[in-house]
This record gives sequence, structure tokens and C-alpha cells, in this order.
Amino acid sequence: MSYETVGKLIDKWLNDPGFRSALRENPEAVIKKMKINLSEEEWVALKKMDWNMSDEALSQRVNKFFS
Amino acid sequence: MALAAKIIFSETDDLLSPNYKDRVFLQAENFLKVQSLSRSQYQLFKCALDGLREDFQEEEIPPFIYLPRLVCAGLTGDAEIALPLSVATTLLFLGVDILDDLADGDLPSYWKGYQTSQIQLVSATLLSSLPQIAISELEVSETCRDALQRTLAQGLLRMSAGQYQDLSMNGKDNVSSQEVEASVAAKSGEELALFTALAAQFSGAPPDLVKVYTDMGRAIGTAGQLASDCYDIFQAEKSKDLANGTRTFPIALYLEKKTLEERKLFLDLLERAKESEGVVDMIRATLHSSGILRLSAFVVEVYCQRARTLLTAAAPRDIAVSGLEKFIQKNSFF
Repeated sequence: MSYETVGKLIDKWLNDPGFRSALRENPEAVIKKMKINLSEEEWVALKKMDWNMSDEALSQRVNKFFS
Repeated sequence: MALAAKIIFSETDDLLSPNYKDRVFLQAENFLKVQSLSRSQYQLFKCALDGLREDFQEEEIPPFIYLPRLVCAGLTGDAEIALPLSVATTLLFLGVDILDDLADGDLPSYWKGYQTSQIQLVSATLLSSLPQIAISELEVSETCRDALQRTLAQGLLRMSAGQYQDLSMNGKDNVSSQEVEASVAAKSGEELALFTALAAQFSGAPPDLVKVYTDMGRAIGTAGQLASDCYDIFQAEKSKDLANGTRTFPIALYLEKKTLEERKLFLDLLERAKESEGVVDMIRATLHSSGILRLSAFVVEVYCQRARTLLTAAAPRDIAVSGLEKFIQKNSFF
């Protein structure tokens, strides 16, 4: 899997407050507008992401599966 | 017949009950007692098994115990048949776990007093002898037993290749996220793929369905290891991976996104993190500001989604669905 496209999306999310608000409001529309090429699995995963969650909250959600 | 079905259902009502974990450990202990050729050999095995039991006391559902059970229940409706297989996968996991601890220089305190060579011997025996004996004692046809032994041998071979790939990336300046992802899939992905493949074959599933369960195990294992790598860097009190110079997925993602100068600065931080825990906070802040946690969360979610798709394709019996979903959801950030 190549993460260049999604990496760019996340860079934009980090550096562009307007884009961040738009993504929080309607992630599906914003991603569709960007016309990025995603597989079915990547598309579902991207839609499942909570863009309102802060990095702090996100790091609290990390689970340790393997010891 | 109706009575038998009723008994099976009541016994498998809660497939993730802690009681099953206790029974597997007890049966594994008895198995080791019977198989050991001397008292001292048994003591060595028992030390390893007791250590594992202690490590997983808090862990609700270790995959090496419960995944075989869920797959067997999903395919046959009978969760009880999985017990001897869960013993074999527990011994297998134990061997891999000890080998990992040896490679990371991270042996738990219960090994105090034992020589490294003795611990290596336990790991080698757990990987090359005991699970194979446990499988040879399963009540299945000869053809099925041969297939199980072959699956075990091939899985170990793939895991070995993944571990080698992992070790050879240690401390390297230029690793790609794709290389790391491939090694995670080959090592941790294959480990869980082995558990689900063995359980599906043991349950008599046809080859195409065995493949679906195998791929599902691989997706869960890969997601699990990628999530655990994030845990180590972003949550753990003490990062083992940073202390060991391990190039995990979040680190590789960062390195490949940056310019040569930025990479040099970050590599210097990684080097200093081996000696000083204070540097870990700087690394965390750098990774956060680059969106690495969010990007890693996305990749984990892709593997979770793959596992969900495969679970749907496997169409297990209802009694196993929520348990298998729980294993998938455990890795997700969302």
C-alpha cells in the first residue's frame, strides 16, 4: 500500500485550518472533491476516521494487541 | 442428537470466558509434564509457561488461545473441540515470544538464574518439537494431520523470514514504510494467520475457506502489530522500540516524508533516545506534529476493514461472530 496520497491529505489537514473544518463537517464530500484514488478498503477506513478527535484523544485510543 | 446439540450450545455460550484460558494453561502444563524427559527439563518448560500465564493474567483474550476456539466454533458450532489445538498454539506462541524477548534483549525477570543458552533451548524446543507433538495427538484423519503439520512448518518458515527482515532493519537510516509493513505482515500477521489456518483445517473447512480464515488472521495480526507499535511510541511509559533502535512503522512513515536534513536531525534524536528517556517526548511531539499517529491509525483501520470483509466472506456460525468482531475492533482507533 502506498500512503503518499493519504499522507498528503493528512498534511493538508494539519496545515490548513479551513480544510480541517471542511473535513470535520463533511469528510465524504471533501475527500470526493479531492479525487484521490483509493481502494474500497482505504475508502471505508478513511470514512471511519474521526476527524474531530484531537491527537491527544487519538493517542489515548491506541491499544496494545501484542505484549 | 438434539440433546448433544443443546449441550454444545450451552458450553459455547460464552466463547470468550476466562475459564477457557485457565483450562488451556492447565492442559498445557499437563502436556509439558507428560512430554518432558526429565524433571529439570519440565522445570524449564514450567518456568516459561508460568511466565506466560503471569504476563497474560490481565489480558482478557489472548489471540493464541481464543482465535482457534472462535474459528472452530464458527465452522463447526462446537467450541470444545478447539481445546487441544489451543494448547498447541499456546506452546507455539510461547516459543515465539521467548525468541522475541531474546532478540530484543528484553527477558522478563522470571528467567533470572537461567543461562541464555538454556532459554534459547526452551524456545527452540517450543518451536520445533512440542506443538508438532500436540498436533500429532489431535483426533483427526491422517490426511488432516499431515496438512496441519505442513501448515505449521510453512507458517514458521514465513515468520522466520519476517523476523529476519525485522532484525536487518534495526538502526538503519533508510527504511520505507512498505518494507516495515511487509515485515510486520510476515511476522505478526503470519503468526495469527497460522492460528486461524490451523483451526480452519482442523475443523475440516475446504481449502478456499481455509484461505479466507488464514487471510483474516493475517489482517488481524498485522493491524495488531501496527497498533502495538503506535502504543509503544505514543503511550507506553518506557518505549522498548526506541530504546532498541527498532524502526517501527510510525518511524518509517516519518523518515520517508522528510527532507535529508530533517531526517538527519530525527535520526540523531532516535540515537539519543537509546540512552535518554527524556528525548522520547521530543520524538512524540515531532511525530504528532507531522500527523504520523493519524496516518498510522488510518493504515491500522485499512487492515481492520480487510479483516471485516474477510469475516463476512467466511460467514461463520452466529456464536462466533461477535468474538471475532471483538478481535478486529480491539485494534481499531475508532
